[in-house]
This record gives sequence, structure tokens and C-alpha cells, in this order.
Amino acid sequence: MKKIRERAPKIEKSSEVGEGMTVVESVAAPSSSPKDPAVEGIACVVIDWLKCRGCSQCEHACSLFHHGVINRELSAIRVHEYFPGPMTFPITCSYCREEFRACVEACPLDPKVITYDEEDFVLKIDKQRCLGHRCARCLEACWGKAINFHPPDHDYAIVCDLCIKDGKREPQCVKACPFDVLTFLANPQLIHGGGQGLKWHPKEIASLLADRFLPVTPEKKMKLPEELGL
Amino acid sequence: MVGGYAGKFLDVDLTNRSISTTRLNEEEVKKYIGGRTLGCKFLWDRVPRGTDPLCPDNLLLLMAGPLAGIWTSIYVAIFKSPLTELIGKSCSSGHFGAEIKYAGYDGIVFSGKADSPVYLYVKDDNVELRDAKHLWGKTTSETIVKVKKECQGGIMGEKNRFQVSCIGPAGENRVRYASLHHRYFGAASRCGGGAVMGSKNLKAVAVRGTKGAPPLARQEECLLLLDKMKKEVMRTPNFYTHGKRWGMYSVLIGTYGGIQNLRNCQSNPDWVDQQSDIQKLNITTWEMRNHVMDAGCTSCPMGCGAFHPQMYVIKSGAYAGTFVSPKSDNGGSLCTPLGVYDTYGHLYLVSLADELGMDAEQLGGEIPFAMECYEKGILTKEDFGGLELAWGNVQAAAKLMVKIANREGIGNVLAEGLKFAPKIIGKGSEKYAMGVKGLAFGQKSPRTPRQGFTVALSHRGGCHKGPFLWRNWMDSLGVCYGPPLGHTLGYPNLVIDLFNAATGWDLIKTKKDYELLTERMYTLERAYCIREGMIPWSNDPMIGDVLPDRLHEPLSYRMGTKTCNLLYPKAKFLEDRAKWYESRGCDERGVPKKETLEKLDLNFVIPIFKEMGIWE
Repeated sequence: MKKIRERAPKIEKSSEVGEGMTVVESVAAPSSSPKDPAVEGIACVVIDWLKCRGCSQCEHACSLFHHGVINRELSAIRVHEYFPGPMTFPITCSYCREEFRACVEACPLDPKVITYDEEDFVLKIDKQRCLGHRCARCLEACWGKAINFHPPDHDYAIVCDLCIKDGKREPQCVKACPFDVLTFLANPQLIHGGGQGLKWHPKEIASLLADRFLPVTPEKKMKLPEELGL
Repeated sequence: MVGGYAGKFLDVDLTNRSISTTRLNEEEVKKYIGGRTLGCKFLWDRVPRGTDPLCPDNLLLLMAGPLAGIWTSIYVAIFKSPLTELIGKSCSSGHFGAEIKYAGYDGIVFSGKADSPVYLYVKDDNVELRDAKHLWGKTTSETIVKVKKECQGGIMGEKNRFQVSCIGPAGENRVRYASLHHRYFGAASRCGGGAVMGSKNLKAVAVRGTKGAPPLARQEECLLLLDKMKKEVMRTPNFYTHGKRWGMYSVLIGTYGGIQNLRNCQSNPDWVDQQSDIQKLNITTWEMRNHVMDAGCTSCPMGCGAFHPQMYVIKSGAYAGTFVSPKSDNGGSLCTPLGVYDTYGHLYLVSLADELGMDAEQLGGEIPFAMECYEKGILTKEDFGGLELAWGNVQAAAKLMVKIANREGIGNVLAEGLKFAPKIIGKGSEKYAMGVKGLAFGQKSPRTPRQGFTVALSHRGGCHKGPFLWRNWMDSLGVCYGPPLGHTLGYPNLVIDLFNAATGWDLIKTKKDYELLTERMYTLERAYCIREGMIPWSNDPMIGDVLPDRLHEPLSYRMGTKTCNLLYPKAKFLEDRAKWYESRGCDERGVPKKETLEKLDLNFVIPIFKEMGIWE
């Protein structure tokens, strides 16, 4: 617990103005830069379900960084769309704690294709040996369905690697998001239910969000005049 | 073909149920860019002059421009309009345009007519026509959800984001102002694309692309530009206030500025009283109470979903269980023009128009027209089947909308639109049709010089988007007007730079290049409209570039404590119009001159105009 506190970002000095009003001296970081540049240790991209507007900028940034093209099929973060709405929200790997890491466990090959790098705190995929979408046991096992395949050219598990380059993690999706949906945070255990990661299927998240739309349901957007008895 | 273009069109012949692709002609593309203008050229070439818009010979083009899916995402529906019988052009933002692009097409061309209801399934190269008998008669939201459910699946499950564009019952019944719907809100609504789609027995189009955006010619430069544009958009205060300006608040702004359409653009002495009635529309209150979530469009950092379509749900009261997304256009068109000052009632009407698949803006001209006919005694209660169509009667308006969508009784007449319905009704009802070339004004009563001029000279009819060249340019690129990038001011701007970098052609190096290109876009559209029967110099607003007489009457309104007057005299309007014609290379009657056509490389127009005897 002590260590976590040390890692927490320092709070800026604020000068008080009048009663109950404070002026924070530093301006909040613009959304185009990572919220906390000095993230160390276990970390992941945390998602704010409500803010997403489905603009696909995170997907584009991801595929541009990894493959140099704009193609969201090659992206590890994927925007899901549900009705009523459309409600849109991104899903990406939330880096479960070891005992919940079902994808690694599910991999049928030996040694495993999908492994967790204890030094860099990222998942790594052996692209050459991966059996691809025909196997897809990792996807089946994943709570949040945060693994993608794009056959035939990229038929291997596409998982978030936090854009690691030369040992430095800098998620591009967080930089690209215009709506502050994504944050790169250390110690996601604190946020994501004690390290269980996304223990929700995207459909469950959607059904929870859909409650906000009640009494509107996917099947019934509105009542026609005769149903209302006008 | 590199550089933003996917390089081919998907041709769907519904009569023979055959599907093929056509390669993009690079020469043609360099001349007409894509989207709106290329679509117009297609119509010119492939739809014979004087074709009935609702017959199988008409084309329906769903076009994605070269920049769709790279910077914002627009799809443009182009067809010969059943409403105006001129060019039918209608844009919709969302994800559909990008999805067409990612599937590897620059557009989808529908021709012919299917013998039974079908919908088109497109997943990259896997294209098929599927049976849609079970969807026929379903409303738009039901259709979208059902089609998505049928198409999505497989290992990727919900990541298969099929985008659907469909019609509702109005489109099936060929109501002349039916619209194409994408998502619960957002439609390519104007000019009656839904009726054309319905006349082809095509219920929906579901597209999904996994190929990604086509390669860009100078990718590094493009990415830098995109980053710059994004920062530019996010730095402007508009990024956050846009919604407030163009959402339902514009009803208030319009009313206090005297240009909101109150009761079918009437200039009654009680205008000022009605103006104070606007406060009954508690826009701030309902916004706070009913706002659920926001939605945006592919590749756009604005997140306005094309002008503020935040999602609202009416949770309680008489209209509980209504999903609505009112923008300035659809929300503003179904309140004050009908004399409706009931907040939830008018939101219900907006939602109903979307659900039935009709253009809310056009209904903001049709229903007030019917209401005024009722007030003046031209149409009676019996004509309306017992509906008391007094000003502000939400129930009657809702029932009338259902009648129109199903073409029952008087609905069958009103479904013909402002151009044809007054001719059927007769009894001098023509003067109550508030529209130009058959397209209604909707929210605005264009009495200011700027508004009036814009609306009268618009090619597709009484549309507030007007005849401005930059709009042709943006629609041709497949780029939304929303993000404020200075594109309204013409050359130079970031969108042009992006186009140059993406295609690698460097078509636009100077201001002159830009002007020539946009001038060509404008003139081609004008020539098409004249070929199809527009008579610009006519004094009839249904075929000419003129405003209905009512809009030249004076109007006084109250701004704050002051009383202001609005008057746009006809003489002044004609003067402005003549100036515009001159600057666009048209003669004093509004017909493009032969020299202009030659200069713009539109020589194929000349023989047609000669045959029509238009220059004599």
C-alpha cells in the first residue's frame, strides 16, 4: 500500500481565492497527451464507458502505430456498438492479475503463444506460432473479449501491448482519444475490481448502459400514436 | 488507385439481381472529385432526360468521397429527386460512409427494381441480395436492429459493426419526401431518397468493411495534417459550444432573430405574441432531464454526430418511452412552424418522423401547409378524416403523419409533396406552399437577405445550405461541414491540403485551381437541374429561383425591448440574384453561358442546351 502511494502523481499546489474557491495553478493536461506520463509497474488503459462517442480514433491510432495503416481490424482496442442508441464503447485488454489471466491458460500450445512479460508488464504474442482464428481459445476464454483476429494476413491474436517500444509503454489510443474516454493508469487493480480485469462481457456492459435508456429498449424506440392512445 | 480512393464502384442491378464492380475512371475523378459531383455526372450520363424519379430507370447512388473515413465520414445519397424532380442530394454523417470506404468501394450504385423486397448485404467482396419480406412494413429503428442482428455474428461477434441504412414505411409507400435512415437518429433525409429506394423494393443496405482506409499517397504528410486538424478543431471553443449553437437552442436564437418559421412563415400581427410563446419550450429543462448519452461519427474529433444529435429519452408523461435526437433542422421544423409549443409533444413528433422514415424538415412545411388550408377553409375536417388540424394540435399532427406515411385519405395527397399536392387540392392553396422548387424551408422563415437569397438559389430546393461552392466541394470530398476548419472561406484551408496530400495529385495548387474546380461542380449541378426542367427565371417558386411572395412581406419582431423590422423587398432580391448569376458565369436568366461551359470543360452540356433551345 505504501508503494502505491509513492507512485501516485503529486498534486499541484493550489492557491486559495476567497471562500470555497481554488485556482489550480497548472492547467489540466490536454487530452492529446497521456494523463500520467510516468506510469510504472502494472498498468493498463482504463475506459470510461459513458464518454465514448464511437469516433474510432483510438482504433486508427493503434493500427497506425503497429502496422502503419488505418484499419481498425488490426487494432487491439475495438469500439463496440449496441442498440438502443447506438451506444458505443471501446474494449481493450485490462491486464488481469495472474490468477484471472484466462487467455494464457487457454492457449493449447506448449510453450504458450501468449505470455505475460513480468519485466515490462505487457502481454506478448508469438505471431509465427499462433494458430489463429481457427483456434481462438484465448478469445473464448477472455472475459472481456479483448482479443482480435484479422485473417488471412494477420491471423494471430491481436492483443493490447500498451504500444511498448524500447521498453517504454506509451498507449497511442490514450493520446488519440478526443473525449477523455481512455486513461493510462498504474495499478488498475484499484479500479477494475481487485485485479479481475474486465470481468464483464461487452454485452453485459451494454445491458447495464441500456438501463439508462429505459423505457426505450432495442426493440422499441418509441410508441406509435395508436399505441399511445392519442 | 492510391490516394484516398478505393478505386471501384459496386454496381447493383436489382432487376437482374446481378452484382458487379466498375473501375473508377481516373480522368473523370480528377475532374469531378467524387461524392456529390461525380454522382451528378453519373445521373447526367445514365439517367435519361425527363425520367420519372420513381420508375426503375432512376439511379440511387450512395457515395463516399475520397476523404470519407479518413477525416470525418459522410455518405451522400444522389438520385433524381421525386420531390423536386431536379437533383436529389442528401448527406448523412455517422459511420456508413466510412464503412463503404473500408469495404473497398467509393460508392454503391443501385439501378433497376427488384421484384420482391430485398436488402443488400456487403462485407468486403462478399456481396449478396437478401430477402427482406420479413422487414417490409417495419419502422426504421426495428429494421436497423433486425438487420444488424442478422448480419453480425461469427467469431468476432459484436465487433462486426455492420452499418445499416434503411427506409421506413414512408419509403415503402413512396412518400415523396421519405428518407434514408442510419442509426436511431441521423438520416439522409432531404429530397426523398427513401422514396427512390422504396420504388426499387430495396429495404436496407448493410455494409461492413474490414479492409481499412485505402493507402494514402503521402501518408506522413497526411498524418501530420490530420493531427493539426484535430488540434485545430479541439482548440476552438466551437468544439464544446457547437452543440449549443446548432442544437435545439437555435430555435430560440432563430425566434429572437425573427427568422424562425412561425405558423407556416405567416407574418401576422400576433407574431410578437407567438415569439414570447417560445419560452414554453423548456429547452434547457428537458435537456438536463432527458439527456442519456452522446454519439459521434467515424474519424471525427468533434463528436457532435453532425450537429448535436445527443441522445435523449423521454422518461415520463404522456410520451414516455420515446427516443429522440432533435437537431436544429428536425427539432426546429416540427415545433413553431406547426404552432406547437408543447416541449414533449414536439419531441414526440420529431421521433415519429424518424421512426416512419420521413424528412422532418419537409414535414415542417407539409403539416403547416395542411394546417393553414384547414384554417382558411380550403380543407375541412371531413377531408382530414375527422382530425381537427388546428395550430398546435400535436395529436392531430401525429395522426396525420401516420396517414401520410401509409398514404391513407388526405395523406395520399400530402405525400405528394409541396410541388404536386397544391395542384391536386387547388382552390388557391398554391400560395400557402412554403417552399422553393418543392423543398420546404422547415425551421427557418428566410426573410433576411442572406437567408432568402440562400434558400431561393439552392439547387435542390428551399434548403438553408444554399448554392455556395464550398458546400459542393466538401460534399464531393465526403467531408462534414461540422468541424470548424475555415473551409467556408475557400482556399486555402487544411481540408484542401489534406486532399492534395492524400491523393498525391496536387490538383489544387492555387486559388484559381480551387475556383475552377468548385465552379465546375456548381455549374454541372445547375446544368443538370435546367435539363430536368428547372426554369430559373420563372416567377413560380416551384420551378424557379424565386421566393414565395409571403416572404417579401414585412415582419416586425421583438429583440429584447426593441421592436425590429425585417423586409427583403423583391426588387432587392432580384438585384442580388442578378449579381450572383453574373459572378457564376450565368446570363441574366440564370442559365450558364456557353463560354462558361467551355471554360469549365463541360462541353457535353452544350448540345443538350442547344437541343432544348435554352439560349435563344
